[in-house]
Parts: sequence; structure tokens; C-alpha cells
Amino acid sequence: MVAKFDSATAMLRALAAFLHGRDFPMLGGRAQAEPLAARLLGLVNRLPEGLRERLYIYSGWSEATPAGKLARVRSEALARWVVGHYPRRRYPAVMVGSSNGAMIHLAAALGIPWLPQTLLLPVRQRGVHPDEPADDLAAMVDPARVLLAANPDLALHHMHDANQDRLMIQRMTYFRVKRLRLGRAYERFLADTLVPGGTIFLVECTLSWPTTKVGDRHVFQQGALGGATVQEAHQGSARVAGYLRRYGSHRRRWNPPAPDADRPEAEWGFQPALRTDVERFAADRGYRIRRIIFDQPEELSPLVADLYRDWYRCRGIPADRLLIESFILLEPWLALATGSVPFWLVFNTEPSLTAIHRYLDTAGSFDEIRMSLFSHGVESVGLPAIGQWRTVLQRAGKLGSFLGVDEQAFPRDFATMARYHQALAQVRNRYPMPCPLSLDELDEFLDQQGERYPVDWK
Amino acid sequence: MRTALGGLVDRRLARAAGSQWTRVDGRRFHARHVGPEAAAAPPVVCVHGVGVSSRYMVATMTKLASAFEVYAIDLPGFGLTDGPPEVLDVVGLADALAGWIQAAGVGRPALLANSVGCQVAVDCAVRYPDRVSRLVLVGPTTDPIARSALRQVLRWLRNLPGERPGQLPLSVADYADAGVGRALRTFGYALADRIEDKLPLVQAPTLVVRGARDPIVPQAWAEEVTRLLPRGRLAVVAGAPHTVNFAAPGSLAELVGPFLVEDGPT
Repeated sequence: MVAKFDSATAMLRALAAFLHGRDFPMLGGRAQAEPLAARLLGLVNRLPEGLRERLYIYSGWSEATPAGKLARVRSEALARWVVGHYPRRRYPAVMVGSSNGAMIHLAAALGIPWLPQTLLLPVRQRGVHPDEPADDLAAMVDPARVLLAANPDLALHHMHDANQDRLMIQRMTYFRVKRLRLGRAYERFLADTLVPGGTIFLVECTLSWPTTKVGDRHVFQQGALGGATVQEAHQGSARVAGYLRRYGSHRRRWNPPAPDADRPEAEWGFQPALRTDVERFAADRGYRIRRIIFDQPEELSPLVADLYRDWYRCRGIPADRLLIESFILLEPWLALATGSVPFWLVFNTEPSLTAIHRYLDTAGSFDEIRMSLFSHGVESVGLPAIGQWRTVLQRAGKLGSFLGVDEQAFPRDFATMARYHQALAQVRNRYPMPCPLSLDELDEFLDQQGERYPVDWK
Repeated sequence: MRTALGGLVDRRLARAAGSQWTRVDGRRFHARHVGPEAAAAPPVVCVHGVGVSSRYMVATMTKLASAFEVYAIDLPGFGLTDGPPEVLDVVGLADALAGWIQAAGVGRPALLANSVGCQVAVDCAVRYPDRVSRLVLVGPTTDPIARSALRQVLRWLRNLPGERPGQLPLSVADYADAGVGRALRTFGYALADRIEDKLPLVQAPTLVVRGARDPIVPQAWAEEVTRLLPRGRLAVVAGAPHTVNFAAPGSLAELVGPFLVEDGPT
């Protein structure tokens, strides 16, 4: 019932693979199937655009749940599914909270698991035009009510982004559920695996978005973080009008339900109710809590990249390889095995391009830059052309290369899902896997850095 | 020794690049030559791969000729340069190349090499650093994880369909001139040559060029070559096979031109 293609799932699986001592082929698929999948998807990349888009829509729909089955969803079952990914052993700390690719690398460095607050439940629908957000909301009010009635631990953020999710939302609706309490499965996992007096890191991305209250624990979000701004999602713009014209829409701007307040963003934002519950649990059991607070998802990326750089230097490894990861194309195991400094980008849009250039402006040069680039199938508002992404690679001292990207096919390069790992796995000059960083080593690094990063540690 | 087919091919190529003969240690060395003599940058000397000759470099020579003086030599025993009775190994070929550079009076040229020619050029740059200003390594061999004749031949076969058919008559003429025996022995020497040990010693700025569809030089090996070079940089030519200099000479010249005139000590 949980989407495989979603950020939270991919991050959970990537980190779990790492803690099991494995790399992460094909977003958690079977490693043996990777060569064949890469070839077949390479053939898909040669199909006409329209056909490729139909296949993409179908692949999303095939993972979505019929609305009638939502009544069977139980938050505890979801939590058991999450914790079932991780090896059961003692950890000095566990992370709980927002999804974030840089946080996954931080957790990997510390050798600890992360329990996501948010999961995506894609729900099948048909007959709703992607550019009619209000219709999507109306069609899903009843299924949402049933889901929430059965799950008092969950808040529902119904998200509708006709810009970046244009293909997916033709046959499904994005239900993102946020956990408001730890619940039994998470509590038991923490009790079983945290060392006495261990630390719970609360990962709190404070990103908010104007949303519409639909009912108790139910909000609707028009648009999503990426190429189009909040304002463009609600009021439109020349770019939005041009985009809608290109896609043959009857609309020139969207007409969503009026927002009534800013609330945690559906995919990345932290819903603070969970913090209260974690504080209660930690006080009862004698655990420490540390909050990692940041406004934008990518604000954690420079800190984690520099932490890895510092770690490599301490280990006598040349810290001159940069691995830029796009959205869910993550590889915590191979990042460490290849001695690569990981820098995570939240998506493939203009703000992310700016973020990586800004990091390179301040971080100094890297001899080698490798970059994965997620393809979502849409020439969406705020999507840089492939040539603009190439400018990042051109900043490498010695070599810059895309990881398994079909440059001609972007942003409809569906083969990259299988090829990004294949390409990274072939990089030579490997390093032994280090022992995890201790919390003291992390603190030492943070003390040295002072106020350099827009991240609060409380 | 030139065969009849070689003569036919050369009549066509002579329109693009003239022949020049230089005596080195008592042996007549053949090179093709094109371009302005008063060019701003040092001349470029093209170095061919195993079995072949300067003939398949002419396409790249003509693309570079408007801005650079370009030579393409025939190493001893290949093309029109007579070889000694014995087959030279990589070190012997590099010595011959260094001898020609001095005897021809071409100053301190940039070497543009393909395939096994890269091994010769790298050896020359390491042992004669005062005779080489820059290197362009196009499809450098030999990938150490495939250091066996069988694996190299399999890769070579996988590469063949990607090459331009126009290369076939040139290659046939080249192999006929050199003799299959000399080509095979040279191939054996190239297999044994550990370029990976020499790359860290190359002082010259080096551009590594890989055809994106080159199975003989996988991306990981091209990256490794670049990483090992103290002053290396990698460029990938989209859609090109192993012999970028013949299959995509325009793209190669677009990469090489700016590299040859870049600032910085050489």
C-alpha cells in the first residue's frame, strides 16, 4: 500500500540496505535483475514520448491502492512494515521524523536507523483532470474520511501537484500520511534497539505550505516543492500559462481550493505533534532527545557533505570526489565505498541547480563530480535543460559525469532508475568501509563548524 | 612496405595531407603533415594504434589544420615507415617517437594518440618530458581488469559495429603493410605494458577522450586513467566508438583545439 517510488520509501530502503551491509540497486530491486532491467528500460527510452508517458502512468497506477481498500490501512501495520526493514541490533541513536536524503547519509555515517514520520499512500482514481485540483479533492473526501476514522494516529495531507506529478496524478491521488504519535511498533523498535540512555534524533524540517483544512487531521495541498513557487501554484504566472498551453490544457492557471493556513509541507515538512509524543516516550525511558531543525530540505546537504569530507580527510582518503544525488536516486553504501562526498538535491529543478552551484562556489574544487539526475517525465515549470545540469559537471577539476543518465531522453529517462547504481558501482578505486562515526565525533565536527550552516541542533 | 592497396588509399589521402620523410638513426621515418607552420601553439603529432598507421588520423588532422600544424607519424614497422627486423615493444616504439620528434625539429609538440598509441605516447612523455608539451589520449589502452588477449579481442569485436565502414579499407591496407605477425607481437607487448604505473609520472597536461560507446575503454577505466594523471581531464564524445579520431573527428577537434591553447605551464 506504500508507494515504492516515493521519497520516504526509497530513503528507508537505501538506509536499511546500508545497515545490512549492502548497496542499493534499482531503488531496492533485485540486484540480479539490474542488467536486464537497465537494457529493457533503455529500449523504453527509445519509444515515442507519448508511449513512454503512458508506461510511466501505468507503473505508478500499478502501485496505487483502490480507494475501497483504504479502510483496511492501519497505521500500526505501516509502522511494522517500516521497522521490519532494519536489522535488529543495538544502536547508539535512532532518527525519527522528516524524510531527507542528506539525513540518510548522516544516519549511514552514524550507523543508525531512521523512522519516517511521513509515508505516501497512492490511491487509484480516474476521470479527474490533472489541472482540476478541486475535483481531485472532491473525489477523495469520502475515502479520506474512512482512512482517518480508522487511524487516529495519522494526519492526511492530500497533495496535488499538476506541475511535477502531472503524469502520476492522471490515474492516482497522492495521500501523504503523517504520524502524530510514535505508536506501538515504533515504540517497541526504539525500546528494543536503543542502548540505555541512547539518543533519539528528531529530524524536523520546518518547511510549510499554504493548505486548506478539509476536516479533522485532513488538509489539502496544492502544488509541491520544486520548480514552481508557492505563488505560482496558487495564482499562476506566465511560466505556468505557457506550461499548461504546451500540455494542451484547457486551463491557464490552476483554480485550487482557497488555502486557510500554512501547515507542514506534505512530503518534507515535520508535523510537530510527533515531537510531543517522542518527548513523553524519551522521558519515560530515559533517552536523550536531540532536535535537528532546518527550514528547507536542502539546507542539511552542505553540512553532511562537509562532514563526509572531514571524515575522509581524517581517514587519509582524498576528499576530492563529489557524488550529487537527485531526489530518490540515493546510494549511501557506494558513497562510502567509493570515497565520495554525498550532496543530496531534493529534486531536479532550478532551485536545486542553484543549490549545488552555491555549494561548489564555497566548498572549493572537486577533481571528480558524478551526478544522478531523476526523471519525472514532465517538461515542468522550473525544470533546467540537460545542458544546464552539465554546467555542474564542467566544474570538476578532472572528470565530471552523469551517472547512468540518457541525456537525450531527459526528463523522460526512465532507464536511469536502473542505471544510476550500475554506473556508480563501476567506479574503481574503492575504500574499506569504516566503523561508524561516534556521536562524540559528530559533536566535535559540529563544534568546529559553529554557526556555519542553517541547521539548529538542540 | 607499402602494398598496392596502401598506394591507392594514399593517393586519396595525399590530397588532404602531404608526406614527409625524416632520417632517424639511419631509418627513414614517414609522417603526414598539414597546417600552417606559423601556428600559435606547438605542433600536434598524432600517434596511431596497433596494426594501423597515420592513415586513419588524416580526418582529425584536417579538422585541426586551420589552427595547428599537425603531423601524423608511422611508427617503425607500420604504414610507410620501415621497421627493424625485430618487433619493437612499447618502450622501443616510444624511443623511436622521441627520436623522430628531435630529428624532425618539431620543437616540443603535443601528442594526440589513439588506443595502443596512447601507451607509446605516455611512455614517451614520462621518459622524455622535455620533448612533449601536452597529451591527448583518445581511447587509452590497456584496461588492467581485462589484461588478456581473449578479453581484449572480445571487446574489440563488440566495438566493431560502432566504427565507420570507411575505416575498413584503411585498416586492411595498414595491416597488409605492417604484416599480421608484427601487429600481433605489438599487441602482445601492449598487453604486458602497465600504463597504470606510468600515468602518475606524466607531467604534461593531458586530455583523456573516450567515445561513449567504446567497449574497449569502459567509462570506469577512462576515469581511472584520468584520476591517475596528475594533470588529467576527461571528456566523453557522445555516440562515438573506440576510434574517435576517425569516427567523430569534428567533435574531437572541438575538444582538442581549446585544450591545446589553454594557459598554464606545460
